[in-house]
Amino acid sequence: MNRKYAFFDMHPVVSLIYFLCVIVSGMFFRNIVLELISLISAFVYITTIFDRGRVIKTALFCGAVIVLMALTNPLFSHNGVTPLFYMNSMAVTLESVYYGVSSGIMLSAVLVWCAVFSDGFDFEKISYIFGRAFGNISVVISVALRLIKLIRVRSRDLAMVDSANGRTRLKDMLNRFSAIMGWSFEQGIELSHSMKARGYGRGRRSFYNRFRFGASDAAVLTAVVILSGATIWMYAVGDFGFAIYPKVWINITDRTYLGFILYSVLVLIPTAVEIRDSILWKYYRSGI
Amino acid sequence: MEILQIRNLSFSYPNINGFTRALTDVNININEGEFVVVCGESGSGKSTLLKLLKPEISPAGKTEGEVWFAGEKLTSENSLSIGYMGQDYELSIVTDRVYQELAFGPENLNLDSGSIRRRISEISSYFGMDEWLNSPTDKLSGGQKQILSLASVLTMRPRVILLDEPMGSLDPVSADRLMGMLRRLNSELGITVVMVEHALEFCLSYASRLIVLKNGRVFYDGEPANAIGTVKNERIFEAFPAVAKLVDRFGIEGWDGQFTVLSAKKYLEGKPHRDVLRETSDEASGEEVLKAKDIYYAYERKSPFIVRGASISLNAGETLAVLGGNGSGKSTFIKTLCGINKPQRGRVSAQGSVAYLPQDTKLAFLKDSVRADYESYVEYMGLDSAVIADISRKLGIEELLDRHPYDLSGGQRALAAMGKMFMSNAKIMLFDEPTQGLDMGMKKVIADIFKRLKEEGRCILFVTHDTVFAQMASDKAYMFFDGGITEPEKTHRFFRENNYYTTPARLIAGDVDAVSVDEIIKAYS
Amino acid sequence: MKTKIKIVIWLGLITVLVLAGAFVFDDSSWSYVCIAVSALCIVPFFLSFERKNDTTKNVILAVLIALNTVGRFVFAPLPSFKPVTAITIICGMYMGPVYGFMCGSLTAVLSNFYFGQGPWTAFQMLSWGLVGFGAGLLGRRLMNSKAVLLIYGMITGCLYSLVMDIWTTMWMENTFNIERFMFYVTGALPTMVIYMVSNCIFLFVLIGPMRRKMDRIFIKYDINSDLHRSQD
Repeated sequence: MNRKYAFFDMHPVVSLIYFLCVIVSGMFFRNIVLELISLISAFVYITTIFDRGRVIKTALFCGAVIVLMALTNPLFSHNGVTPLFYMNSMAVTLESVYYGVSSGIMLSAVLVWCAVFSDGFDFEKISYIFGRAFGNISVVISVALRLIKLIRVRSRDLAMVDSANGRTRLKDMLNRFSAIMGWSFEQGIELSHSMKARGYGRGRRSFYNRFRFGASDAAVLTAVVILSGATIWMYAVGDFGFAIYPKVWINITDRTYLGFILYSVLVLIPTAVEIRDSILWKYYRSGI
Repeated sequence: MEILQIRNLSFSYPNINGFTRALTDVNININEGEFVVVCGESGSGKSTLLKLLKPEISPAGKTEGEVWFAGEKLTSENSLSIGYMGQDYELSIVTDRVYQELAFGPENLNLDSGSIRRRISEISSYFGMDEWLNSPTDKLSGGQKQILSLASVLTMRPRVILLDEPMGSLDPVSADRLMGMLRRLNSELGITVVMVEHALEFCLSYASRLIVLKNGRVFYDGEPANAIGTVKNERIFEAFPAVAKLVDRFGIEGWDGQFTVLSAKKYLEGKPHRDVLRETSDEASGEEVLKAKDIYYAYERKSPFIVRGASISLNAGETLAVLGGNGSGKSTFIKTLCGINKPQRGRVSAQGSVAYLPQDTKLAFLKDSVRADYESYVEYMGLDSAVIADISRKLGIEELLDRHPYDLSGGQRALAAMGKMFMSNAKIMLFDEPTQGLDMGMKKVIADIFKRLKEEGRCILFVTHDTVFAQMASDKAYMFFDGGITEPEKTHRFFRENNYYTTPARLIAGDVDAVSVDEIIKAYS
Repeated sequence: MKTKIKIVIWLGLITVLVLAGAFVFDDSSWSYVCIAVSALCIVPFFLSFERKNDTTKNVILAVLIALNTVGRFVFAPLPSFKPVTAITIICGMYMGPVYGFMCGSLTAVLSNFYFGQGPWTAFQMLSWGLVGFGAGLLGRRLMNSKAVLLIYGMITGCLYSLVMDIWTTMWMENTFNIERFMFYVTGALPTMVIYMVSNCIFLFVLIGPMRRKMDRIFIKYDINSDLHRSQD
């Protein structure tokens, strides 16, 4: 298996907590500056890990989300003090457009972070996280995954005699699906034999953990916890005060600037890890 | 020391009317360090016997007698030291990554991570698995999967390994590799091996003991070499290696008791022989029914082409074999011919419809009984329903019609699936590994069915790694290799010219012009 | 007694977390509350599943989850026409409420790995899970009458759609704007209808074969099913 992203080489707990923090803060911090910081750094990060086509596709998608939100929000929300024009005797306000834009930025930032997370946090890591607390579930997930692959590969063969060229009427699809079902049960029973034969189901089972929690994991985790703790605390006490309705208002103090910097550091951690990694490799290569 | 003692073991499966006897009064003592091969016709109870040695997966039914393991009665508690490997290696793998699979057993023993790590590292070094330890299990080749399923049994540190027809889905090369591993485990580590297998060709030369079951009773139990006299009139003798048949024909003199190709060659050395006259009938083949030109196929956009510029032309009234190793892409190739896989480049043009029978014959049935499946098929094809009775009589599967397709044995299911091929009006019939897991007797039946289908004017193409079957059933043969196929050749010539990938009989025959045991016998008598 | 204490502690924990979050994320409290509550509600179900230890039933559960996920591929040409709810209902009704819940919620996790993971996963896990849980509770009633089963399928299809609309509304705007909600509901009306119809079709078509297949497997491999026992 190739290494995919440097940040996800860290211990799964680190990447899980990190993404939880970033996604949760991205969703719930309603402050245009923080939203922008989150979106921009998400893009900075994906330019280091995705290929160009995918970055462009993501950018177009985010643009569409923002425009869509900006256009639709005024339809539902008539708050705000700056009317642009009237529709059905309801004011379409500038503020509600702003609000739509802000929601769009928030949504697209969260979607980009989620995409990165689903990409990098693979099943191996999921089963590590589940395996400790939920041993049973972890095995069920693992078997289900194996079956998904088996069923997807072999159900292509369920083209029986003469229908090799595929009948796609709904009735045929349902028939086929029902046959896949029966076949999958048989496969499942076989799998369960293999599991039982290797002692599964006789009581407590341990969990083989291949991940080592090293010093660098500890360092990054500490940084993540401190940074997100600090920003959440600042958000709670109102340092990031921001409102669009009825009028755009933002609270800026010295502490707010500090907060922006802290938050930027938080969301740029994976980019930093990725860049450090690529510099390291350049250095190694030039050393040859 | 006796490690497994089977005492007066009888077993019956429950059925609607009561019980069906599967095993009767079986008495076997297996000593530690033995390499035991158990064989028998299908329905002889060999797989049942094997499962009864592993209580966790023993079938439900009525058991009499008992099994002792290492001086204690066998229970699901002490059976942890017995490893079991099922028939289908695909289905013995339960996790997503190779290392997780190796850890699965030790995890069930509730070992700590340190000890599990140790066991994995040990096994992975012993089998040279380090390079793919982190691979996803579905990306492995067939041979690797087979190694993995063996290795993940071994991380449990068993004293006995039970194997249920491990050769079934392996090509000759992978089969030899697996046998080599088992031999190593047996001779280096003293692990007792008990395997049920009908591909005796591959395993008999490794066995220290052969047990033949017949109708649920022990028919023969002893040295493999001494079995010939007892079993030579049984159907199971078909499955014996070529040398056994030669010895049976020409007498035991000059035979060293081994089942290898080398000992067969030594045995024949100096015996007088003559050239066999071969009728080279050039059957005029019919019109072209399928043509594929320069087809390319890959599973995903970025993945390598499995089929690369393959071309083939099929004529009516021909039976063709495509040979190749596990994972050579030959199955992908025929799926491309019948339209399951759409080629990215090139065209396949067929005259009339194409029928395809997948390797896993379970997939040929959509309904809950053979009859229901036939009926819906007949209806779909717009045929007269009398054809069902007709065809099932022809194939001798009348009693199977009301059973669930999944409850049939592999051979019975293959026959039932062939019934559908007979009903089909397709001119072109493609078969993926039609003899997978079938014994020699069944292979002959399938070869005969192919002949009948051919006589109906159809073109038959099958892929296989079973050289003996290909020799028996086909007119022409190809190799699938490096994404394409070699030039077609007459089957006899194909096996004659091949020096490595050919029938065991050809290897034994040496300079004599023979590719099957029958031909050798003809030449030497 | 012990379980009661556990439940009380758990409810307390949920309340504390919700309140704390609502305080911190002042404006965004709606979507926060939603996600937090759904994520925390899932945990007790998971814990009660952990106490079950029946290999064959676990594997059958895995098969059903795999089928759900594959079903989302097989029927990809028909948008929103998916067997997920139907299979989850059948799972719940055959194997009991906890298995039903697991089937629904794990399907959400696994299939979203192919179709996109996000904050909505937690929400889907809870809502699909509850569909299965309910089917488990109604087990025998659904089993005995096809009409009840189809009605249950329709209602859950409708509810699932509505619940997902609530979710969308809240996470777009952080408050529950009824106007926006109505907009989504009307916009998603065709989808909702497809959900309801497809649930009915799948239940109608699959229940027969599925029942035969489940019965066959349960009898052949001697698996304990609550339903089978009570039918005797």
